[in-house]
Amino acid sequence: MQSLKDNDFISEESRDLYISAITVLGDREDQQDCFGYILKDNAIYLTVCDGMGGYSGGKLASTVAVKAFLDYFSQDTEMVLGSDCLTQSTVFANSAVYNLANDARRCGSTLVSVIIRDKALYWNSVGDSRAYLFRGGSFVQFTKDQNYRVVLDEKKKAGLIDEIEYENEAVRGDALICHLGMESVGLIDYNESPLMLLPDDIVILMSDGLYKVLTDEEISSVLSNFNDVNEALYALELKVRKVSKEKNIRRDNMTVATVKIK
Amino acid sequence: MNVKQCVNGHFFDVDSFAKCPHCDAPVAGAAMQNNVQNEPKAKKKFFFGKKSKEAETVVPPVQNNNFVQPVQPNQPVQPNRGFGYGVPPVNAAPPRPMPADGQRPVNMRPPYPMNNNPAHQYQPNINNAPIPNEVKRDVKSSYPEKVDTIDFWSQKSADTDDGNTVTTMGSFPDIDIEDLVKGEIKTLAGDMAVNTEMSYTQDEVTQEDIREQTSELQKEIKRISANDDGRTMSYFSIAHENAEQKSKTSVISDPVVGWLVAIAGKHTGDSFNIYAGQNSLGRGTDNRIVLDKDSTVSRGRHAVVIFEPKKKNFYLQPGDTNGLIYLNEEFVSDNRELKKSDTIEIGETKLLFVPLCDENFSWEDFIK
Repeated sequence: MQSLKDNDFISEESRDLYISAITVLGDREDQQDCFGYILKDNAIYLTVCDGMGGYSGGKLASTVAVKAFLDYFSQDTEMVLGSDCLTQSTVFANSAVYNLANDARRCGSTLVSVIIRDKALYWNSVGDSRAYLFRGGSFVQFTKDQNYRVVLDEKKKAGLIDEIEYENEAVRGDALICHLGMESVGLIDYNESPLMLLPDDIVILMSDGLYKVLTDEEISSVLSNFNDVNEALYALELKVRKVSKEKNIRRDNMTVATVKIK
Repeated sequence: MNVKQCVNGHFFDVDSFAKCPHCDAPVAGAAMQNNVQNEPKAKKKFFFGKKSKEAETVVPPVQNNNFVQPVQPNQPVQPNRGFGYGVPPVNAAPPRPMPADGQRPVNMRPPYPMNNNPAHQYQPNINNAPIPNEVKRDVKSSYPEKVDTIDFWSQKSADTDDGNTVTTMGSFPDIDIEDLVKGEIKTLAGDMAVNTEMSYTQDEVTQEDIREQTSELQKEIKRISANDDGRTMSYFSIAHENAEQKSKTSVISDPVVGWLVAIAGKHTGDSFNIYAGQNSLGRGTDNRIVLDKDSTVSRGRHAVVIFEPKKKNFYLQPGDTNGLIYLNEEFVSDNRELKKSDTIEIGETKLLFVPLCDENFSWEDFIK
């Protein structure tokens, strides 16, 4: 199913998995985030997309990306699981978003998607939406951000730029170097071998509306403090609201989707 | 401070209050206090001490049915409470305050079918069997059996095609998370298992384990990520027919006239196009020829390669930075002509010059 509302909360359970997801408009006029999933007894295909572009181009881009992703997987129920089919779905979603653009409207979308089947996880990420694994107190990000800051960090580490230049350029660190629907060739962050999950693991996909307001420690402590993931999502939303008010931040669209292994 | 429970299960300080400040009920029978956690903090440590590498769902202590409470006249029988979770018995509790907006009905009932023992939110399978002493981890108990019986942020449920139940909700009420965490808002089903002291960082041993687990996970993730030339990011290219077409159109107006091929240094194997006019070389991206992997190359215009189209001659000049350049091992101080197979040394990079346009080839023959 695909979420089409400005604010939404979804919770569903299958034989081996739970999914809970929340999407929040924040202080924007448009909800440009979108998420969707297909839930089976032993598997889930899940994606979160964050659109960008004026004149509702962003909303259209993310909605189309999610729809393309779900369409790709809905045809085949027993697809061979591997990193290939997930990357192909991303390429498919990319074409769909690319074809939306016309002279009046350029738009793009990030995408972070996972397939979990029989506790084997494959991920794809294009852009700066993130996916984390929460396992008994450890909170680890497994996708790589694709923004200018990462490029700057690598250059600094290699000694190609110095502190001053890094600081000057860091202002533009949030700019994406890759997203769906780009003009030129793009790049996907993915894994070749699966990440094996254990019971009680929680996989969290999120758009930047969450991690740009709360630190990893803050998110992780909320997840630790609430056994029930639904309650944890609620608490995260409240915490983001509170921190945004305190720091006078104009809230971005926020989407958090969690899968818990039974 | 002397913390006791009232007959409805609320904890309060009997040194400060004669009766429960929440509901004005008296303190529960003295005999009842023995099994209730008089020192909640000590009990918490016990549970945290039990935490091992695998994540344990902290299940609060179960009601001890072996302990028989003396029933006082005119008072209902009070079950033991898990600490921190004051679930009032459905029959005897006073009505809870409605939320400020009055929009959401406050649901008093825990989501499980009731029998004579009010079910604790985290113990759906309570029966009358004797309770074991150790806290058992029940993974399934962290989720209620049927989502659609919880009146939880005015949720609605629907059935999906797979026969699962999907729960969706309306708008989010605006509640301060601090109030929620302090337990002052009891508007969710049962009481939320909020315990701000519940944290994996309390126990020293566990914190170490978590750090180790985290670093193991990070290594694993790095190992399974796709590798491209040993770079830290994993890549997969998205094919784009349209992009290729667009790059073809730009070539005709500004065709390549020669190349510099890196044969030494970090750029070895790379080739750089030379175009008509001035081609600046440098580390910065505003140069026409960008040598960004060589940190000894100046950021600005370190050197310039020129193609003069009238005579079809190539020239090499130093730029306007502090850096030096060498042509065929000789220091370059001014304008020098470039011949085929000349080598240019810039920073730690050695470039081989390969001209395209010469006496045998000219773009004028191809481009009208």
